[in-house]
Amino acid sequence: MNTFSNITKEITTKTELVYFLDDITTAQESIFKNNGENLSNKIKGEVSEPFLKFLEKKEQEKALTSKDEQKNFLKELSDYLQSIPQAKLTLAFSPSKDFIQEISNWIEKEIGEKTILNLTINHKITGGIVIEFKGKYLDLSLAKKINKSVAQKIYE
Amino acid sequence: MLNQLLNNTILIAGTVAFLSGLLIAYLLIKSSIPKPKDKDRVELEISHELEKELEKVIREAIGESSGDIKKRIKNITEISIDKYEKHFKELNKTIRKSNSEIEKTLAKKEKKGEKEIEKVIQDFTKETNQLKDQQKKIQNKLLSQLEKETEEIKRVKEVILDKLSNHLKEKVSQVSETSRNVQKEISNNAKEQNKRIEEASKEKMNKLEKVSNQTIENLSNRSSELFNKLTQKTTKINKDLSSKAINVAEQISNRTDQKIDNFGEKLKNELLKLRKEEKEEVSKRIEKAKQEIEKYKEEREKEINEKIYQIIAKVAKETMGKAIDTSSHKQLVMESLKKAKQENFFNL
Repeated sequence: MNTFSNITKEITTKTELVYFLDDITTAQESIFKNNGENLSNKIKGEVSEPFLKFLEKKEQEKALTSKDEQKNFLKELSDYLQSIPQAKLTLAFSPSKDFIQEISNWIEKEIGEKTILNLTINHKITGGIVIEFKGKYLDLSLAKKINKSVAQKIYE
Repeated sequence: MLNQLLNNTILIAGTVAFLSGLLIAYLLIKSSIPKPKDKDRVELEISHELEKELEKVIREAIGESSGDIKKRIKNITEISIDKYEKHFKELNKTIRKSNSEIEKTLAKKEKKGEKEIEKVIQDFTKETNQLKDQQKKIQNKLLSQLEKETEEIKRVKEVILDKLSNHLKEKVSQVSETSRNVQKEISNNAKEQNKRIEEASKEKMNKLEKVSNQTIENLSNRSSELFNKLTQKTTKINKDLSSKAINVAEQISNRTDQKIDNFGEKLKNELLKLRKEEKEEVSKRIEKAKQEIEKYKEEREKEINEKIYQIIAKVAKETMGKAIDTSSHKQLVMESLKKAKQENFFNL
């Protein structure tokens, strides 16, 4: 478990990752504003609640006392988040947050590492899932199965 | 070449004869020399060696000469063979050249022959026309001659008659003038004489008429004979010419027929070939068209099947998509993920 494990629990989808990276950028831009003030205070109201809490926790641990520390921390965090592998999943319906978390957990468990889900909704696949991961592609959609079975029936 | 060979043979024979003579002479000299005495021993021994040396020299000379001669004969033979070979090659070339020239000449002559036949026909026609013209001319000439001769005879007859009448008139006038006294006698005599003269003149006239008729008849006969002969000759020439012309015409006709037949045969073969080719071409085109139709049919069937398949799939998907609830979706997703895991999709 590394320094950023706690915060990554909050990030499951690519949308969340983008928001988080935006928050980091905001923080990075605020480092040199209002000298003597904590970074968390500087960006309060401008960033998401999870990111702010995470930053406050780090400030309490005296990990972000200097501007350089803040800068390095944010840079490392940004780099780490961008290095997390992503899995593009296409679904035929809009999944609930719980179901997204369920999928994320399942994948993390099976792969053994944190994975960001890049979710896309496409009703044409009818059901099931289409996965793209680390350059690989797998179509496990219901549409494909239907196509296959219809084709088999026609060309029998 | 033969002379050269003969000369060489003579040379060889001469050399051999000369050397043989030398050997015989030596042997004779040797036999004629008496056996040496003891005091002459050394000298004679030397002579014996000399003798051996001489024999050796002679043998070598014979050997070398015969070797040289053999070589020369061999060389000459080889040269002769080469020359004969060259000569034969040249002869062969000449024969080939002659053959080709003969073939060319024959071909030319064949062409020339056809032209000559045409020319002969033309010449024959020309000659026939000329002969006809000549015949006409001769006939005209003979007729004109006959007319002239007849006129001449008539003129002679008239002249004779004129002369006779004049003569008679003269006589009558003489008699009337000289003998009026013996007029009766004289008149009787005159009458008698007149009668005689008349008879004579009649006779003469008859004779003249006979002669003239005979002459005319003879001339007529002669002209008829000539005419007949000419007609016969002309007929014969005409016949010969006709037969020759017919033969030539037949030959030309036969050749032309043969050529036309050959051409017809060739034309027929060409037409049959063309018809066959056309038939094959049409068959090929039909086959190609059939294949294209079959291909088009297959493509259309495929397209139709594709459309049917798309429609069915679309309907099925839409129907199923609407029919599936969220829990079923979730279940499908989780099953799919498990399947992906089973297929080792997540393993790197």
